[in-house]
Amino acid sequence: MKRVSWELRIGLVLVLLLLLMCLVSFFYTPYGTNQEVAAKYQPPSSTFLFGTDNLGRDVFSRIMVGSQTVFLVGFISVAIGLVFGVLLGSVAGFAGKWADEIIMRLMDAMMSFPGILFALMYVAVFGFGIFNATVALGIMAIPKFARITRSGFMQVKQEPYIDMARSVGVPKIRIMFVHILPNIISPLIVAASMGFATAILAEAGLSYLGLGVQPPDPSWGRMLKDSQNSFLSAPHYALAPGLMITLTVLGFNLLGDGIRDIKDVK
Amino acid sequence: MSLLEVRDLRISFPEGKKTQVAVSELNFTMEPGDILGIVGESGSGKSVTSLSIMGLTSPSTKIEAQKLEYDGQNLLALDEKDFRKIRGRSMSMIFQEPMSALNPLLPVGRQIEEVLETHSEETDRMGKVIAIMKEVGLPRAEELYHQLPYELSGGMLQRILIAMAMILRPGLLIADEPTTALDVTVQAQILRLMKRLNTQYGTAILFISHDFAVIRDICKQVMVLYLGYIMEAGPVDQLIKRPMNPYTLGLLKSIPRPKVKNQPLYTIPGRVPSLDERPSGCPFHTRCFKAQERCRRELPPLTESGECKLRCFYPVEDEER
Repeated sequence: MKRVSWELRIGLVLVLLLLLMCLVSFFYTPYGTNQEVAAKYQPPSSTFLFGTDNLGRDVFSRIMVGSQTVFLVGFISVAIGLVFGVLLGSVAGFAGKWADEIIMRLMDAMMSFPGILFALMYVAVFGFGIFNATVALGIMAIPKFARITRSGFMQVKQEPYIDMARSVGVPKIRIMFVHILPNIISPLIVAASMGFATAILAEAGLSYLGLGVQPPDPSWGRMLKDSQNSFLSAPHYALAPGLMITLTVLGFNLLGDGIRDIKDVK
Repeated sequence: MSLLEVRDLRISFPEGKKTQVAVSELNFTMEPGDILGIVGESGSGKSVTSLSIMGLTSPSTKIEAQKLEYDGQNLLALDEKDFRKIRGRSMSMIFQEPMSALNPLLPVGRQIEEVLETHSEETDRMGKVIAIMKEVGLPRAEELYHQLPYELSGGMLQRILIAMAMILRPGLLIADEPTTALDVTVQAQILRLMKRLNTQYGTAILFISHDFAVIRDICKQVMVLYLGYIMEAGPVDQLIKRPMNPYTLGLLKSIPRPKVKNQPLYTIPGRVPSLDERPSGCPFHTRCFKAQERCRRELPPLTESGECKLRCFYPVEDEER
């Protein structure tokens, strides 16, 4: 019997609520993202759930639409990291020797470089905007997935069932992707969930610095930046995106923890 | 032409400057339909011998031989790609622990089918898999096909492995302690199954075990290995009745016999030396009750008398048995 931990429950609820918010925002927002609907810096009320911002726009509507960016950045950057990381990691873990040496030293080099700094440089070279920021975050996620994949491969490679598969002539590529990869998928899922959280945080950071989402498109990080000047007079404006970022990151981290716990019990 | 011919096989692991030798001067041949047993304690080189025949040793292992031929094909000259073509089709192998020899995430039937996928253009693959599963004595084969390894018992899993190894009717099956992890009744069933497949298809079996009792059940010929050397070889009955090498005698004496009561079970004194503390002269002299000065200095040659081969200067006398 599998135990469903509270981490998993809370994480799942948070992530699902967020996903719901994101999906709804494609069809419906209370006031639209860029209309001036009221006076500036209205405090939260029943009409404006999270109040209004420095230009009199509805914060809640902007938060909703901002969640689209969150998922986009999360998915794409994790996908980039996962695909390339798993490929590199499997080659390193399966072939060993010099291939392993070259790939892993390259990964070490990437890991020793601060992620946000790399993203800054990448965006500076290839242009501002959310797409480039996402790609940069994806590239920085590669080493983590490569390491996990490599250590999984090295471990599973020793299993008797791999010898058995070899002893009946199963080709190497098939052994790698049919016999080894599925057996190391659970640590990858955990890492992907955590990677999602990291990516979201990094995107918020980049947008805060003005390098990610460009105005007037809404972004949580950007909103945080805009709220800075009025932090003392209208703290609710800073609170909304800050809280959303916290809850989202928390949700994905708890989800990752919860999945790992399930796998550990086995 | 013999099915398998091994002449002067030497297997070693080069490690920096010094080399550790696992198997030396190993000679044997197998004809189609033969069942040859290899007996020895752990570390005697049984498993590495079988792996080298299958071409499955790690890349750092050095295999030298005057001749290592399967069906006239020089195995030493094969590259990985050619080797892969004969593995599973011409020769296959079953392993010690059936519980861990199958991919835990793939239905067992799919794993048998994989052998067909790799080697043949068979169209009704599932039908063939079901057929072989029934043949190795698995009930409800259609249902079992879709089950995962953890849902099956050890004996059933060993049958699955045998089905995998036998589906293409290979000429040679290497069984590396296939019954060690199973309980005794299941062990007997598996041995019977292997014997049946042997007579039915003429598949030769190289049966590796540390257990003379099991070897006696299934083999006609047996080879006793110690630290990579053949100590004694010949027909099983003869070896059991009149063991000439003190090591063979020691192995036989350490089988529990129900009739002998109130007597501690015999064990060979000492332990198998590790590869880097291999003694000079006869490899067994450090543990042998008949060892003389000469045994310490010289390696006894392998002498033949009748059907038996023996490596010993001072064979066991009748009154010592």
